[in-house]
Amino acid sequence: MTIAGMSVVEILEGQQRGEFTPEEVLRAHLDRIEGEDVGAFLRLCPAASPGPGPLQGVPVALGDEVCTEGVETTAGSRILAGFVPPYQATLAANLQGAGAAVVGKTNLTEFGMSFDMEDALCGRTQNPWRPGTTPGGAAGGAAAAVAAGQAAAAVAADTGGDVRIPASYCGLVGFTPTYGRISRYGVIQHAPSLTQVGLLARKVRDIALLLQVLAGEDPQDHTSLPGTLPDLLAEVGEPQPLRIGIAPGAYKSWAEGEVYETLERLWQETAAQLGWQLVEVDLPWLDLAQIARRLIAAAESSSTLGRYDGVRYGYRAKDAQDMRELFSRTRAEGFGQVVKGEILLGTYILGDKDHYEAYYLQALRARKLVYKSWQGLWQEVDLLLTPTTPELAGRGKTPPEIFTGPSNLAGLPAISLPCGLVDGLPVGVQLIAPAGEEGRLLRAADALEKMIDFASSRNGGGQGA
Amino acid sequence: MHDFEAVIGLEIHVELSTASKIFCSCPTTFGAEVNTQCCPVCLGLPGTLPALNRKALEYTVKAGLALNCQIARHTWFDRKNYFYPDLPKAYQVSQQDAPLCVNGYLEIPVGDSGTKKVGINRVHLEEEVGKSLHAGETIIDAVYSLLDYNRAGIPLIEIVTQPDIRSAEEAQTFLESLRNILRYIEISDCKMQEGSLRCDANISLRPKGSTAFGTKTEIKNLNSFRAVRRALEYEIKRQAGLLRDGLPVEPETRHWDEQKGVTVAMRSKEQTSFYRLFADPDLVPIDLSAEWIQQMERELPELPGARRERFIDEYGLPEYDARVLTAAKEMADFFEEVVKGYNDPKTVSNWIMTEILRYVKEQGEEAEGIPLPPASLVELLQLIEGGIINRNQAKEIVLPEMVASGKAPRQIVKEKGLEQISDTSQLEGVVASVLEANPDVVQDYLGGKEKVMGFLVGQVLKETKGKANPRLVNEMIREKLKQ
Repeated sequence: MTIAGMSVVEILEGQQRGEFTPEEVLRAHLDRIEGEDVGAFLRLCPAASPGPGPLQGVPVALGDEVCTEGVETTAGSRILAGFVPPYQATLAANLQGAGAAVVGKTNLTEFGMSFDMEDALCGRTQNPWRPGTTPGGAAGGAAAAVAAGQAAAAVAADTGGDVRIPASYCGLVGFTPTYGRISRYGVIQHAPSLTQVGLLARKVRDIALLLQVLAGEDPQDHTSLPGTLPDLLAEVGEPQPLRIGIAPGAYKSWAEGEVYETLERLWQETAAQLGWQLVEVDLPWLDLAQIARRLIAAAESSSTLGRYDGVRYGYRAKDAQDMRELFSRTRAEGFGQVVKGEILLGTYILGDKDHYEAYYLQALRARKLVYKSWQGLWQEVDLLLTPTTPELAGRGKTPPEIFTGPSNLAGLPAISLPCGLVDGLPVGVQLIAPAGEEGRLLRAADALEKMIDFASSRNGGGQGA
Repeated sequence: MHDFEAVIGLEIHVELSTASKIFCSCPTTFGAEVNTQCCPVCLGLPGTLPALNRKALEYTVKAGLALNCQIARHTWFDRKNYFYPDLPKAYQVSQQDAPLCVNGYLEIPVGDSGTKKVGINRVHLEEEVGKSLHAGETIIDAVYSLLDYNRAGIPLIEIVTQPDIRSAEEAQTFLESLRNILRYIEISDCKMQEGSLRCDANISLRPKGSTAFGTKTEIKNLNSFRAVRRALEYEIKRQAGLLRDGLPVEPETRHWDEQKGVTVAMRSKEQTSFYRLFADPDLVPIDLSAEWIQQMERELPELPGARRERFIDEYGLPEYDARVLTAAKEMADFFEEVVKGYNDPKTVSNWIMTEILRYVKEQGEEAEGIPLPPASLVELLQLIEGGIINRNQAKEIVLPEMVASGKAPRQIVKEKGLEQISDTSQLEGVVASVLEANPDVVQDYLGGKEKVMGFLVGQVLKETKGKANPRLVNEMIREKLKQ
């Protein structure tokens, strides 16, 4: 078994048994980066080195929205070209403190503001399962890096599915914890109220290990959650009797047939063995949630991205004659089309009292409604099981975030697992839990993962590692 | 001819004197070298987030309590979005819909002994922006502009009054009272010349007796209390002139030109923009418990009004003295310290209100405080009481020297050789020769003209170069002429 392509747990256990050293692990992953160009990385971290700690020698990729001290950080935007942060994102510091080796910064759509990786401006990223197919976005580079064995895990921002969608397309585990569980300090964002720092890895246990290192209150992030998590890895074990919500009606109407069938087969085959009681629920608010999420993201983006004005750092328009020209040309030349469109939309809905009432306030009301709907749902079920994406990679007819966005609106923990292949491309299943219930979520995901045995199906198809 | 009444409301910005900024740990010291007190957070670098300084919250709530406001139990911050180079994030974190403090008032003195309540509409907390220096008149026609972000992120409160102020003088009194109370509770140094207290004024006129509001103008660039008063006086005259001539008052922002003593319409303002305000998602809403608010109230020091009443009760001072002494915290503190060492409150009060206040006023309206330590005044008063120097010497010679050099009064008396001669044996000869040299005056005195005593004492003082103890000389002459 080659080192590149191993899970985090396998790497740690192999090192412990003395089968290979942290340096060999790093070398193996760097070799894979050189050998297999999927366009995952925007730049490598020259100083990557493993240290002692619970993640000793684990090669981790960071989305380029994560600030790394001394290493250029652009969030995939021309407007930040050449920006080298003089500070470290809290999560980057925590990873290094735990001994992980940050190998490089991965590609994403500009500021993570599109789920369509084709919108990325800093190069094309391939889906390792099928070159020429999208890996999904916004964290397409992070997912491609892990799927191609160039990193054992990755960390990136998720505002509506940016980690889970590419995880689903690339046959990986993608996870977002409760809002505020992992510090957002130093993560370049566009829509802070929706941003949950997400994790990508091969196995649920890898996620538990990473989360243990990254979770915790950060005095530099006012929205970070107080309190500590229980020992998640110790908790991942025996299957628990759970009430699992499914909404076949909604899934059928949004998802393509083969995706739905894969999911249906999965819950029919596994529920009984896992001790799960399936509870049919209704999710009539999915499209409302999708629109509300979109409007809130645009509104917050129009404000959060205002700082890129060419005055202090990043791209600056040349030969501007005055302040207005400096601002408008810097932003016109520095931002790409998608970002400009979102900023315009956000400015429109916040920039006038009538628009504010009609769109932003309505979106906030819808968000509250979605929040209440989740509260109601948790009276009936312990977890909700959905397809992660409505379609396979590259189909692009339905909003890919239709099933992933609603958890961001309420800051809920969610996880996507690979559950099968259709046409040689991975299909993902998503589990969503009430806020604060990462333990329940990871236990159930670990049990389900064991039933699926995706690794052997992978050997039958696809070339991703 | 109409008789007009002015309707004035003030908007005051006050920088809080917290040790660190509102969302990061940068210091807030005034006058540091440019761009040395900033960090990734207050520069709004990508990915950085605000961490709320609890002290800023406490100070704002204390200001609200001192101004008799209701304190919001649930509040949050909003983003006020606009583009300007000194605004690092392109939005200012402020409070629009949920100010921390609302519906208060400040009682100010009017006339000789009256008071009046000026309503406080709101007090809210926000962050300070950076400072721009333009090589040109405005940023638009400047050749270049320089930016200093030291100020960016200093906690700032905005205090908005109700339109309850009726004259320029009242506006000045209000500001003085406000400054005093904020200094009492030690939340700001309130220095207008350093910009830690800034004021804009809204003013309109209406016919006396009317309750409707006229068209208002907003006056900016008011850099001192005097400027506030003068600008409002000017604006009242200007608006009254327009109205008398049947001309409209334009609703506009006007700039106070200190040199020329006039307000001028500012270059046509940018179209008044909606600031795209919305709740800042990076800061969680704040819930304040009744217990915490009570705790803040308990931590408030004695406020000027209560202290004034106590000065009357405890020290037996007249109302007027109590009001003057408590009009500045430093002065009231000074008074109480001096009385501890020299227990004659009225004498101390007289000295402070006449002599000390003169030196304070010489420093201008933003006096840093009393120019001598309380112990020095105690010593000076003891020197007078002990007959070592007389009152005139104390006022004319010793006190000015104390203020100028900071030396102790006893030392000054010694250096200048001012000790009074209170030893009768040293004065016997002088008294005898003065009486001998003025037989006519002595006759007048013996004939019942008591008034001439002053002349005789004066002669003795002249002979002793003012060092003779006048009371003692008086007694000696009286004694001698009895015989």
